[in-house]
Amino acid sequence: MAPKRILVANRGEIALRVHRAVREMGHVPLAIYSKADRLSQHVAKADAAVCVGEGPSIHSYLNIDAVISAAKQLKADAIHPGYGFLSEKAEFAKAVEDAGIVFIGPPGKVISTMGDKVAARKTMAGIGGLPLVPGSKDGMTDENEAFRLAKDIGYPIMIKALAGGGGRGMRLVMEEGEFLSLFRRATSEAAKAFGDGRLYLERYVTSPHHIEVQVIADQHGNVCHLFERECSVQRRHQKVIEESPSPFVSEETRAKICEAAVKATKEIGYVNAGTIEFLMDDKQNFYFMEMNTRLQVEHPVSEWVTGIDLVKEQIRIAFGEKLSFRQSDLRQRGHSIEFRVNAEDPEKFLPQAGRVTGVSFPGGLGVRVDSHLYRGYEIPVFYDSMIAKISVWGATRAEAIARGKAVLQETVLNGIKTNIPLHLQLLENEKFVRGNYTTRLIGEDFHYQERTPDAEELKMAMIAAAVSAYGKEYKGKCPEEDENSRWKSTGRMEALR
Amino acid sequence: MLFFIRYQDKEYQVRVESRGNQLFVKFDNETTEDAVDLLYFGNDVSFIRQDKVFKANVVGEKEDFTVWRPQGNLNFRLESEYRRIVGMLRGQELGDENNVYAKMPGKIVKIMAKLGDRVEKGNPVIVMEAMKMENEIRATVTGTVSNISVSEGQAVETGALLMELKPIEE
Repeated sequence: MAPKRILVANRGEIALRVHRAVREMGHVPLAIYSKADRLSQHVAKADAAVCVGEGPSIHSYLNIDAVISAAKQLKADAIHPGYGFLSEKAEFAKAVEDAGIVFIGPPGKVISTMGDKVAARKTMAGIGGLPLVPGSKDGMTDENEAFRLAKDIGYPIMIKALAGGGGRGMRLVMEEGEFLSLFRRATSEAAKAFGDGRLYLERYVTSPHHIEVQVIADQHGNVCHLFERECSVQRRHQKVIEESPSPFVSEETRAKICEAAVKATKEIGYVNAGTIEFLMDDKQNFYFMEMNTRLQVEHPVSEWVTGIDLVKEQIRIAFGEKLSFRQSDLRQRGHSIEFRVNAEDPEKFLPQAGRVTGVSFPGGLGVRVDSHLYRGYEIPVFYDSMIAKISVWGATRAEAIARGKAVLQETVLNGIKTNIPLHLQLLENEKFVRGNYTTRLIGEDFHYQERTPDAEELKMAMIAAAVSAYGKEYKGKCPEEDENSRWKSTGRMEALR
Repeated sequence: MLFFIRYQDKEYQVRVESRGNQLFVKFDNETTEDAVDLLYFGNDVSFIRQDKVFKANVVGEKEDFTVWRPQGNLNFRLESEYRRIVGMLRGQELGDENNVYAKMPGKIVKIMAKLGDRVEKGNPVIVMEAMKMENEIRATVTGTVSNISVSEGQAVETGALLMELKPIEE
């Protein structure tokens, strides 16, 4: 393939991750950025970049016209949408194609079918042959109508945004009395997040596993799966830890669910990478939930166990090449776990914005860090609170857990609160360690506890704080800190604004 | 230099001195001081004390210090002897608990109480959006709304005053 100019219409770690694949293949990585992201790594590491607007994503990363005109200005041959933002907007895929640019993802028609959760379920159950959880057939806005239907389906009920994903506009209703207020809150959240307030209802499987299958299809009818991912460690429907293989799924079920996913992918004429999400009950019955028509945040765990670079395959497929492997080439080798590191208070789960003043990431065999952080980086308030993905690989699940613990303890992040202490405590949880946990792990079987340091640690930490304060008050008497040059660098940044 | 460090509800004292090219620390009421060798400096305040390496990364803003540790960060209030004396001379500001503050930067989505309304402690009064999630901010006391300092759609910073409440005694 001759070198192509590939624009990543995204930011943060995923923009960096795609850029890496682009560069490795000999193509040219291009970037867009909002005014709030001008000092971001994904801009500095691209070969060319264009500003697409103000900080709030609705004025920049979600502005289709601005993104397309940036792509034209940068003479992009193709656009990779990453995840989130415009990645699952059919009109964006169409606009890209209309501009004569290759969209690295599925055709717009498939995105729009799968993006409409009701249509997705009809299609996947009908053409795709996948089993469904009982629920509403259409999206709804009328709360009274929804209320009546909820009665028929039976509580508990899950409210979901028709256009949604990532847990936004999603509410669990345990009983009739709280239905209306939660329905209203979900409507408002969905309208704000996706510009579409329509919701649908679904019976809630009480102790489910969230199992998803990574699929990938080329334009020549070849469809493969990269096995399953277990994503049951969630909080408020946001994934926290993902692993592959699932420690819960049996060999037999694994074969069944992967085969079903491949068949459905083929039947609906899907092209490029996608993920089919299933709910699985404790008897390993599985139900289709939704299909994500994009690269997933947690794709590294599948890459770890299969050795396949999903982004490189995505690019090849988009330019009409065949998959570089066959199903029979793939094995699930060893075990991989990914930890989503968020800038948030691990106890109250409040997102934190601010300046990251201390950064040091781990390294070594079987360790991968996907992050856009650097020392001095200011986390903007406009975007997601995920600041890093730390994933590990081990020959066995036990080795992956031990490695996870070691690397999380090696990771220095200061100036902001992160959920690393939460991850470390999860790795000590008995149910997690045994590998038999459901989406109810956090909140029911696991509760984060603010730790109490022992006397010795407390003493040493206080000495560290005092020495640091001493260094600030008595500059010159201590080994020099680069504190004064920070003023200079800030001044330089200001001058560039 | 002497530092007063508060952790939870206890106060400790740490003395730091440099003589020649060597740092010495004395912790709280211990009788002996120890030589400390800094491994690197800046935010990283890892050091060797009695052969043991202690890994830390320290961020201090005014009096709030956060020490990174592998198992999770520790937060201290730290005050030098000098600043404590200056503070005493100026008189300390009193904090109040009746007011509702922003715990994070974000946007006000909805104000759920009007001026003069009675609100119950723990009930949501404001919906804020931060990082694309809506969060309910709750009343800190049972009382009547005596002032609303923000409007819907407004962006606010951490610590911004959102609403003042006049407590009702019952």
